[in-house]
Amino acid sequence: MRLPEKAVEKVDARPCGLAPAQGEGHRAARIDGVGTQHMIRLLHTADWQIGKPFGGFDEERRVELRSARFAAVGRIAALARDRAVDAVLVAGDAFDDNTVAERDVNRVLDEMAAYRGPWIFLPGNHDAAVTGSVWARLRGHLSRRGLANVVIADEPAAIDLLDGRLAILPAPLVRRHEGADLTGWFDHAETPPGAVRVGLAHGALENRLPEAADAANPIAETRTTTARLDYLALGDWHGFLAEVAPKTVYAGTPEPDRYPSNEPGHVALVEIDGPGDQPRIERVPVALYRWTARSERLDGDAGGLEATFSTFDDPGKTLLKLTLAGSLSLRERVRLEETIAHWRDRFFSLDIRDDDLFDEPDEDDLDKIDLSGFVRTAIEALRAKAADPADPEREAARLAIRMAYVEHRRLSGTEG
Amino acid sequence: MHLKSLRVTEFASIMDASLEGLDPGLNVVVGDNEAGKSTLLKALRAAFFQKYRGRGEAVEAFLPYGGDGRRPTVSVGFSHDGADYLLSKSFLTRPAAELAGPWASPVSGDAVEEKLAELLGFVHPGRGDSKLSEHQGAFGLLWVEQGRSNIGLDIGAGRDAVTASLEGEVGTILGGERGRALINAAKALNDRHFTATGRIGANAPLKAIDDELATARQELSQKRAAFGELEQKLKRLEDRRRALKGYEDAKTLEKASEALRAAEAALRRAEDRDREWQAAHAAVKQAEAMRAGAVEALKRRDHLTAQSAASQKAFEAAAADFAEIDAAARSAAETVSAAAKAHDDARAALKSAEDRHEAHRRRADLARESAARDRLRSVVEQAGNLAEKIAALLARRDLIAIDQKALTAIDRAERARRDCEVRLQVAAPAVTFEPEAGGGVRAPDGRAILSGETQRVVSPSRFLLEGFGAVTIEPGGGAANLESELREATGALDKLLKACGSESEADARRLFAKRQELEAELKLLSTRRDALVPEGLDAARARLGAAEAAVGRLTAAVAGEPDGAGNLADDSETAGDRLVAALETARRNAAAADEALRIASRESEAATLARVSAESDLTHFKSQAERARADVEAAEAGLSRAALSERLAEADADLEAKRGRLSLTQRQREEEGAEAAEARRKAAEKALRQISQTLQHLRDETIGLEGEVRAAGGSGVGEAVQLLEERIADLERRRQRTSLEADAARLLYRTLLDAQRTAREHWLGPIKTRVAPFLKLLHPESDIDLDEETLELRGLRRQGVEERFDRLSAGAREQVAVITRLALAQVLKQGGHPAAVILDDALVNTDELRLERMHEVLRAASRELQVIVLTCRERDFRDLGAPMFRL
Repeated sequence: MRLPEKAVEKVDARPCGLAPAQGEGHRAARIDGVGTQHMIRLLHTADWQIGKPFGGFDEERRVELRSARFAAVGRIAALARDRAVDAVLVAGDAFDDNTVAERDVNRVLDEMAAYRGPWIFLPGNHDAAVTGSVWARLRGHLSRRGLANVVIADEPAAIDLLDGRLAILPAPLVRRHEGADLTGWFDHAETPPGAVRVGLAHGALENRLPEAADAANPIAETRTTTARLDYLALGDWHGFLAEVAPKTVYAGTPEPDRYPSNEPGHVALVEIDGPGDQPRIERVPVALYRWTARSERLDGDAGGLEATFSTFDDPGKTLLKLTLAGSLSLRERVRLEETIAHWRDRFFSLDIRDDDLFDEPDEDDLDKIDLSGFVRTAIEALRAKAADPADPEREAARLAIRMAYVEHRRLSGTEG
Repeated sequence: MHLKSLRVTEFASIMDASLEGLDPGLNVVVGDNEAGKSTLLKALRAAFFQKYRGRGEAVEAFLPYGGDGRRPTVSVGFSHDGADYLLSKSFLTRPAAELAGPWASPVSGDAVEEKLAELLGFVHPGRGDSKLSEHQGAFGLLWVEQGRSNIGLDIGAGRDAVTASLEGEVGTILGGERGRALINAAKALNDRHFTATGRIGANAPLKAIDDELATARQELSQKRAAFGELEQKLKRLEDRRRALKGYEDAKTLEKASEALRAAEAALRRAEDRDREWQAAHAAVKQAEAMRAGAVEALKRRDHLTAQSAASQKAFEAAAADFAEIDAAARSAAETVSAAAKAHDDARAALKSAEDRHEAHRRRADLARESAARDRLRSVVEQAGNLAEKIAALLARRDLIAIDQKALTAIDRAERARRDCEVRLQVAAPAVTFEPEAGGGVRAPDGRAILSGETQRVVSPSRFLLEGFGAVTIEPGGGAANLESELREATGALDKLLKACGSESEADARRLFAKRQELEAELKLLSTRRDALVPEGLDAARARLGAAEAAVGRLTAAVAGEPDGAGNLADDSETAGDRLVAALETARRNAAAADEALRIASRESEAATLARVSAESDLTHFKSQAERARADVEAAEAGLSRAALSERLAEADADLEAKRGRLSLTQRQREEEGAEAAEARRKAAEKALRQISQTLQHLRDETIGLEGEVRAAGGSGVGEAVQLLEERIADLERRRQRTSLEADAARLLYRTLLDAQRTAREHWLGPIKTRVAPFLKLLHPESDIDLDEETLELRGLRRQGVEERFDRLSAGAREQVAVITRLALAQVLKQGGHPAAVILDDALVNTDELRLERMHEVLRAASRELQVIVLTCRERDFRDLGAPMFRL
């Protein structure tokens, strides 16, 4: 496939002509690139998931998180402009869903405005090029806006850029789950002689990803070799994974949306000198929010957690999912709750999972409850329940003891 | 604590009353109604619990009636915790209070109230009067006013004192104030989630989450439906597009047009072939007609020849037949002649037999008729004799003119005469002549009347008296009449007798008997005659005449017959039988001869007819055969059979050739017939139309679906679905957490309540322990049931059966209440609380037996407690052995 005349013309002209001068180094590099007519510079990103709803959050946070994704596109556009890349490759799942709202599609186009060079969009599994996909609508908006620099790579056909120096080989998903390797055709794809061959695909690189990865859309791990690719830009895996196979990179999502700590929040800036040369890959952070998942084991002392929380530089931009395990006395438990209550207001989001954190009331706790009379009897009964693995009310009993403790302390406090 | 003395002056109904030297144990205060026992209790309460400066309604009531200016005053001496106190309060008029105790100098004024509250453990009301249930500590419980003993315990604020006392006794099991506070806190936690009945509350967090969940789920299902619909539309759109593309790729429409054109060309070709076939078909038909003509001519010739031969043959056969039939007819005629002769012979034989038989029959008739005539003659003779005898008897009978009727009339006339005679004898004067010796009397009739003989004079009679003359006696009236009557009667009788020729009645009877005898004989003779000639003598005579005539006739007939026949006539019956048999044989022979003749005649007639018919046939066949022969000869003369055969062969060859042509065109036509071609053309046309329509339809549908999808595509429905799914997952997590919290709150509250209840049950033990020995005295095998919360008496459990307190009898209620009070007072005292029990007429409903036992109870209780009994019934408590105080 070739871009329409006009688009190609623009694509070729813009990187030099329209990019504002910001940072001499970048410009120099660009001039070098353009001047020598050798080096190709690409910005590789993926998995924007525009329209992701973030249902687990309250309205306010949801709005902020959603806004952040648009802002990320804006930053990517600015970066592409600043680093004068030859093209931006979006390796699938730019949109979270094919029914993404028109408004969101338009907003993405607005955010993309900073970079006027070619944007190559690959339909991924979330925005597969099915009938009625977002791409048809996007095309409508593009023509309405007169934008020719945005290319929707929804057909398995080579896209020649830079007068044939760069050939993009896309493997668009036309179904959510293909099951087959769509990149097979790369092996026999004809490209102009001397062109840099860049594959663009969305799915799971076989045998190279953790087991958790969704393998519905497999990609052969040897594809760069068999298809003589100079670079294989991949999407779907939300973390940044450079050289996961030779010349193969997952850019990850630019703005994280989940807790797994697989280094999301980056884009890849790639420089390729020419066909057969090793690409130079730069990982550039673009994320606003930091999503972190931590696990802490607390055994009898909740004091360490304060320090853990303190290590975060910018808790207001951090989403922390903290899984707690271990056991605490009731005193420590109450202290823990106080600590969490404080930090909950400082973090953008603090998600505490304490299913494996157990209350273990000790004698001191019970002394504090000033156990006497029927209260002692009641607490003993609850402790017996809490200790009995077969008791269906075991969990409730544990919590009940803590409640008794808390209430008792509150009453004592009031009395005192 | 116990009271030692009490003095009340100018207090309500009491002007001055004083109790001194109250025992620390049991005391009885006796007073009649209106003596002021209750006032005494009121005064005691006033002293302890009423602020002396009080001016409320209750305090006003302390004044005696019309007692303005009076000064209600109460002085109480009591001992508490080993110290003695003397309390004195005056109300309304110059109110004053003083309390002397183990101090250097008595306290007075408001300090007294403070001191009392401290000593006795009660609180004064902020304002207003002291109320029994709220402010008087345990004393409401222990000082029982009249009429309240059977209401219950009136425990009120005393509960806390009891509880405190019990806690002191049973240790810290109650958890103290903090325990109660914790229960309240747990209740608050529980109530956040649950209603009083244990359901999830309307404002519970769980409810809110559930509501939110329900809304989200509903919304999700709607969104999913919308999403599903969109997916469906997309799927359909894709399907339509693919279909459309399929059509276009396969150039289906163009191909269909091409097919139509081809079909039209084929149709034209087929029509040409059809025409060719029709021409060939017509030629074949023509050749077939030609051949059929030839065949027909040949057939006709053959037929003609055959016909001629057949006619000849038929003629010959008819001639043979005729000869045969003619012979048969002759033979039949001869047979008829023979049969006619035989018939005549048989007829003659029959006539002869009949004659013989007839003669024989006539002779038999003559013999029979002669016998009959002789018999008749004898009968007539006998009957004639009888008839003569009958006539003689009839003559004799007719001489006797009397019959049953005449006899009856005579009888009746005789009776009437005798009757008259008798009556005359009676009515007639009796005359007795008794002449002197020698004298005689003569009756009118001249006879001599004997002396002394009584004479009845029935009619004027003239008696001649000898020697005297005559005497005429004339009987009076009746006798004269009777006498004439008698005469008449006698006359009548005589007339009757004369008529029948008898002289007297007896004679008449004899005559009548004679007549009857004659009649009997007559009847006998008549019967005999009737038996002989039932039809009458004349008829018999006529029959005789007829018989004689018949005999005469027959004799004449027989006489005229030939002798031969006559000889036989004398023979026996067998001769007759033989004759009959001969006659029958002759008849049969005649009938057979008749039949043979008839058959022969009929056969002869048939033979004659057949001969006529055969003759006619013969003539007919003959002429036919001649005509046929003439026809054949004529035809052969025209065109010979060989020529005809040749013509047929020519026609066959022509037909064969034309059939070959036809079958060729037929095959061609079948291969590409006009109908099939037309059908194919139509099918092609239809296919083209159909495809055009389908394409149009697909295009329309695609355009429509594209519009719909465009409208719905960007609605963010997928995002909404995902959002809702995530929200639901989040809510479910929250729900689980909240549910656990709710469960925990409920568990905590329930566990605390359970523990508290168990503890209470535990600490109710001491009260029950104290009640038990008392209760055993009054209501064996029973147990009190106290409300663990309020300590109020709930009821009594007797032999395992629960009885509600308010449904016990008044007596049982007051007994149980008093016993329980005493037990509680003991508990209070044990707990260091002031406790003295005052019972104001508290046992008025108790029967004698139980009252005695109550005495034991009171005595036992008073070993630890001061008990003051106020009563109007001295004798109820006389035997108690307690000090008596009188008002």
